[in-house]
Amino acid sequence: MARILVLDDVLDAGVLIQRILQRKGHVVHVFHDEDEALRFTEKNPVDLAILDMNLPKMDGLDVLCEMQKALPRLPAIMLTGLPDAAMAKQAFAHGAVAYCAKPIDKDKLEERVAKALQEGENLPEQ
Amino acid sequence: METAFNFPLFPVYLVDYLGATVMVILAFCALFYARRLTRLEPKNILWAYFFWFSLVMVIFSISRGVGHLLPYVFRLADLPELWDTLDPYSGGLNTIALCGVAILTLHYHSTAVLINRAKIDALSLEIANERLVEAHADLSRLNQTLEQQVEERTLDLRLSEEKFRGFFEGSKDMIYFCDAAGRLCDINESGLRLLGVERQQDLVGQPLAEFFLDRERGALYRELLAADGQVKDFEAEFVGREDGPLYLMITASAITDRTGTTQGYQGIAKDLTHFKKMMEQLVHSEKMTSVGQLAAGVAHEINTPLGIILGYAQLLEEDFAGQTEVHETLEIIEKQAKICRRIVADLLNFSRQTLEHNKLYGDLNQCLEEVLAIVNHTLNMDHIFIHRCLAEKLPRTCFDNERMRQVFVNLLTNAHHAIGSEGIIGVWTRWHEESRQIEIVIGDSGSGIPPDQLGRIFDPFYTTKGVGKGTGLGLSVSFGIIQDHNGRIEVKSPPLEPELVTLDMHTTFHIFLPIVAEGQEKEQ
Repeated sequence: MARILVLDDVLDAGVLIQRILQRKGHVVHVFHDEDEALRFTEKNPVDLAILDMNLPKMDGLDVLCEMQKALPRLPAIMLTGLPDAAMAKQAFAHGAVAYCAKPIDKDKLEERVAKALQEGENLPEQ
Repeated sequence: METAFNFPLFPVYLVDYLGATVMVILAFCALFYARRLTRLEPKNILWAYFFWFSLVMVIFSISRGVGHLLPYVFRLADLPELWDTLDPYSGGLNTIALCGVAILTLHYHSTAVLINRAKIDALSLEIANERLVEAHADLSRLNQTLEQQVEERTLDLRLSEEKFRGFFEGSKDMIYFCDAAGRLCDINESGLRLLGVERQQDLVGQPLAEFFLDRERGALYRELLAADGQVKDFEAEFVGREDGPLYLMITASAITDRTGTTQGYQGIAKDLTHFKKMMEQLVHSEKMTSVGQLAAGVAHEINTPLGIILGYAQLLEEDFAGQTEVHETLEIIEKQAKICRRIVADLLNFSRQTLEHNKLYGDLNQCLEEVLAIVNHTLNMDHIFIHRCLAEKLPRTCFDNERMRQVFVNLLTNAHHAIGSEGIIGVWTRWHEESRQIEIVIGDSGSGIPPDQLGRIFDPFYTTKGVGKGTGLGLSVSFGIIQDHNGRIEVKSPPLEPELVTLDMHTTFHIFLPIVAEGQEKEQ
């Protein structure tokens, strides 16, 4: 069981991911506003962030950077509607473990989450 | 008679004597002057007359003088009877001399008249002669001027001829002359080149209307020309060189004689093939860009809701795993949503073609071989044979291997669909050294593309395949990819190249890619 944060400006999309991952036994917190999500991570630790790249107020990568201030080495799965090689490189540089094109398949999402959590566990604890 | 010689009569005798002597002297003087005059002007008849007159007068004066002097001499010598003997002779001689003068004078008159007439004749002859000389001079002057004029005109004509010949031969446009029946009589070099004919003899006598690709258009051209005596900017497609029809803009006019009867036609045809092609490409590329932007916008907006539908359908499938009917329904929703997702992905791919660059130095032959190896099996199943003719020494160039494969797959899939089953797919690679381009030809023995569809096949969403079989994006995406490589893609249906025709190719796609040397791809 892991604590997962999902941030997508389209709430339905976030809830979908929540439903899928809840069935795998994870605790999933869904946000559609960047500030609310950031406020949450300031007080509550999470094991994985699933972030949309294109958010109304901020860039997905900036959100990740902000979150990492409170939670260093927070692994993240970045979702994007417009896959771009340069952006993918940047995402990996910021500690993202996956860069996926939307819409992401249920099976693929489950697989990526499992893989990301496994890698996160293998990371040396602070 | 002795009484006659009386002393009181002496002065009379003296006067007679002296008078006779003076008369002789004066007669000689007159002769002398008359002679000098004749010497001065031998032809003057008056002087001649004077001369002869003086001569006769000399004879007369001598004869008369002797007749007056000798009686005194003989009387003094006391021989008067001797004079009586001579006296008749003296009298006769005098008479003869006076007769001579009379004859001479009479003769002079008629001679003078004759000579005068002759002179008048001579004068008029001379005048006539002078006039003749003048006329001759005039004539020769005129002749000379005429010669000069002819020379000048000839030079003018030659220059004019040279000028127009130069214009005719040097023009890059086709210039032609036809007879009244519309058959070609003369055509310039550019015309021969455009029509793809080497010798003028091969063209002369052929009706121009036969070169129109569309016979009706040719008939319209003739009708307009016959009705108005001219056509301006008449657009027509001509049967032309090997690489497709010629697009010409014709301006022609009728040549008429003084009575207005048509003697023939002259015309200039401008080759707009290249221009039209460029315009078409420009329009197409504009269209692609705007459609691309639209497609990207739509695709991006649809993407998220589509993902949500798909995801919830998948979730529900799990929930209703036990209920067969609901589960099947949900499976259909999932399947159709996935088809939508593929279309959206294609759209995004199509609109995003210039964003990502992953060009590497490589061998296009190898890329093509890899694709052929993949599709070979499917083609064999439908009894489609692949004819390969790959250039052995194809230069390496920079290209995006993944996307170029996509182009080849698209073209080969289309070829497969065009054939259905049983046929030939031809694949060629060629190296054009002079233009430094690689040409890739993919052709099929399928049904060919109808002419009215040829212009639209690269348009996004244009498809002749059934619903669900194609999105109509394959060729658009391929077009974009090739354009992104600074190349071009052309379609020929049917191709005219003999090599392609002999292999029964009905549609061929020709991709032209410029050679990009290693290290240059970044500058592109």
